[in-house]
Amino acid sequence: MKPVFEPLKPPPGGLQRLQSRLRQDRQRRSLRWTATTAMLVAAIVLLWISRPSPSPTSNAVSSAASQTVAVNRVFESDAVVFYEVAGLELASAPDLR
Amino acid sequence: MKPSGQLTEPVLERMYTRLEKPLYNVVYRWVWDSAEASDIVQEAFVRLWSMRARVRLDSADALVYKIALNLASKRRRHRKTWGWTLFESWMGQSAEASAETALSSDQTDRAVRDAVDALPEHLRSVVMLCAFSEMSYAEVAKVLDIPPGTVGSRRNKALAQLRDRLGEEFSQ
Repeated sequence: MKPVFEPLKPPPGGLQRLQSRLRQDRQRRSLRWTATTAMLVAAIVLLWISRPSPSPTSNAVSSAASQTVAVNRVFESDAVVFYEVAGLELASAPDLR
Repeated sequence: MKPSGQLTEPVLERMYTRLEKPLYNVVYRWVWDSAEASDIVQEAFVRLWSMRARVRLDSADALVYKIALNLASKRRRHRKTWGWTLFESWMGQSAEASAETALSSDQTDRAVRDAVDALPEHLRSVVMLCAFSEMSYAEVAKVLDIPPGTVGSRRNKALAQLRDRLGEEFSQ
């Protein structure tokens, strides 16, 4: 008569195999972290490099600080565009309307 | 009383040592292959580990049984789909013959295996968990998401079916 519920012994070394699988899992995870961080840094650097350079107008405008600014395009060639930038005192500004 | 808290690596290893044999025995009755059963037990613990942040220790045993049963069931279905069982029998029943830890040929009673195989999955899971897991009906019910009363009735039904099929051969 064969018992239906006869307990069997699992193959030896199960715990060691589990430990090595967990170690591999840890290594994989740290590798994934490193790769993600490296990709993120590379993306930031790439964005920084490829950012649009400020136009002469915006440079002039920002250097004029908080003053009200008037910009006048005065000269243009194929390569260069000249702007005349002036800060205006609101009180002394002519009526532009 | 089971400990409560975080699932750490030493805790997982202690749990593995405690549950390896009962889990292996339950899963073996699904796949009838020593290496595959052992692999499923390992995989269940690796999956439990991967979800450790969400696992409560007091429900970890039930969860690892649930994962292992799902994996075993999937492998069995997969095998059936691809006719692996036929391939194995064509290869001269290599599974039984090659695995030193599997039932030896005199222990491998084809009738017992066929009888267990013939049980529907919902009966087999109950009867195997009750036989090997040392869990109470309430704990088995938790693993299978069924009421505790159903565990008792399914177990009785499964045993009756085994008895019918095996007749004099049947012994627990």
